[in-house]
Amino acid sequence: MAALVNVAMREDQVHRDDTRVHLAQQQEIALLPYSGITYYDIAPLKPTAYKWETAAAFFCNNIAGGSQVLALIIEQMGGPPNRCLVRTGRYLAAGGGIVGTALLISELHTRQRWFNMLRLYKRTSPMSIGIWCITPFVAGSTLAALGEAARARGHGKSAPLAAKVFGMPAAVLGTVVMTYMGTELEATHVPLWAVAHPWLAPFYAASGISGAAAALQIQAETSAAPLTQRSMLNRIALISGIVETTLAMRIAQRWHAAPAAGFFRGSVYNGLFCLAVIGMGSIVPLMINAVQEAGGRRRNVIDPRLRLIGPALKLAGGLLRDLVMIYAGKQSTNQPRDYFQYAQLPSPQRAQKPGPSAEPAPIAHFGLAVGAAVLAGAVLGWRLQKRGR
Amino acid sequence: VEPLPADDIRLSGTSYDNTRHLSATTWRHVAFIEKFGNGNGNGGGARPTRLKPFQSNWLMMSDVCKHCRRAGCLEACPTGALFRTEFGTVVVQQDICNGCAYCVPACPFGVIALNMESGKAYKCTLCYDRLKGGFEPACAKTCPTNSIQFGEIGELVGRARRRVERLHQLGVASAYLYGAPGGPGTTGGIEQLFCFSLLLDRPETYNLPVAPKLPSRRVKNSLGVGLLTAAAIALASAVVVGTTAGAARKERRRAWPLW
Repeated sequence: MAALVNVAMREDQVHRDDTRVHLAQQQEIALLPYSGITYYDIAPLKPTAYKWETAAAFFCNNIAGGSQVLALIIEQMGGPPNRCLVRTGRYLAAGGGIVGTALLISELHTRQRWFNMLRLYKRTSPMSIGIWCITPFVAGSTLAALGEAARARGHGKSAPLAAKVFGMPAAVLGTVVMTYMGTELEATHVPLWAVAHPWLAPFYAASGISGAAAALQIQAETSAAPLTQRSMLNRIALISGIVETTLAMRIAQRWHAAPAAGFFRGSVYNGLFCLAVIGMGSIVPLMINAVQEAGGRRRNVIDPRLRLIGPALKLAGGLLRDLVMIYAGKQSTNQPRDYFQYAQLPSPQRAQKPGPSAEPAPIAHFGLAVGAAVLAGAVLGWRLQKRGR
Repeated sequence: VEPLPADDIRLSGTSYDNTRHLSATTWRHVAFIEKFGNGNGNGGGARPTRLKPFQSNWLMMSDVCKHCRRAGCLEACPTGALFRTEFGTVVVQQDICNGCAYCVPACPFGVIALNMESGKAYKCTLCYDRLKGGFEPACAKTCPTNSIQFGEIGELVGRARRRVERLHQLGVASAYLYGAPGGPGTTGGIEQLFCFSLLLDRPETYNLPVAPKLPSRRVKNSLGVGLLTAAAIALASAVVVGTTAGAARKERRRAWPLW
């Protein structure tokens, strides 16, 4: 308030250059530290209308986009022996895309007007970007899947060509389909999602590939696919899983450090997010992948039923993660102090002030747990391999 | 034309505010704050027994859609239902809106809201129909104290700045404009609020953010980083598939030599 009094006392300057002084005064107000005051604890934001359908749609589209990308990679680089994986990837992409789109339409409050989203393209709206990628993606994926089905039944010579022609652009769009939901969440005023910028979109991108690899792993395990195929999927799951876990820890670190995510630290969503992403999504699947990878590609070192646990947990964890993301975000908009902390100008004085951000984050513990799991898995796999010899 | 139905009416805290916030059916709302003790009356402390003549400890603000120069809701709307009118205001076309509600978390002031009965988003139109007919908005027309004023934005900003100056001269040093260019409420790409206010306390006291940020500014960066990550993992996966397939081919050749 002292700053404001000073401005008022500079009366001569006010008359000389009133605009400049007004600006200076207004900026000084914006730089004063937030005292925690609210308007009768009433939330200044309106909660999002997202529900479980949104979470399920994000999950389906994420897996669908990743599956189409992996199908194209395996088709181009893997050759004919991996055809069944390409086919499964394309079926997953079409199925996930159709279900995801149906869920997105079902959550609209005036469903019969869903096509109004195709009236125009807006590059400032992640939802518009998403819908313009999902629509041709689902069409391309469905045609590619039909081509694969015809090819599997030996119908027509043009079926393989159709699968390839429609599968390739669908895979390019698939990268956006599995990523855009992170941008859609970040580009809002929901404090929890906004403070995670710019890590949500890359997190969803990594999750799309690792989720698709997990889904393909289940198919490979249940259909007794050759060991080389399973090893290949294992390595893709391991690489994408490590990237996904690193990004998840970065997001969790933000949520534990940012004053604007204050509600999250003390809520049940904190534990559920750790369970979904770190426990179900990382530690168990990465450990099983590491055991299998270190155990060698020439023989199975883990029981087939046990090998299914990793990918199955990964997929269940992915769905739980999306539900936590949506419902924790809804709760976050009801916290006036979190939003007012978020809507502050960065100031050097405030940065030095110790606040909730000084709380120790359990990220180091997560990192250690995941690293230890991968290391333990690798050592176990190596020992099993040696015993086998 | 039916009037908008009343919201669930009850008082908030120690104030006379009975609508508490803007909603799909409440397009104007007056915030009442009695300042005494430590905070806005809820924080305890004693109510003063003596005041200067013609003064009170009440703060009031008539809240409404800010009709931002760069509006988060308009930029987020994927259907084009939200549009900028010839008067510079932002209006929802009810015959286009499909109720996706993405405009709701994109508004930094919690203005636009979804009506669950009709399934569409609603907010103040600044009486678009009246403006087209050459009239001023109903709120400005009916305000008995002329606290709500309507006119050319440049002229209004100049008038408000002169008023702030006058208040400073009278000893009300805390007066400032919320939403005028360069001030609180216009940060992060929003630039200017066409419905701005003269306030006497920090914006949070009136349930307004000090430095909101336009969400669309994050889209390019976010999607770019996401797609780069996707490309990097796809490349790594291609290397894995390529090397595994190459090793398998070599193995098959070893098992069944061609000569």
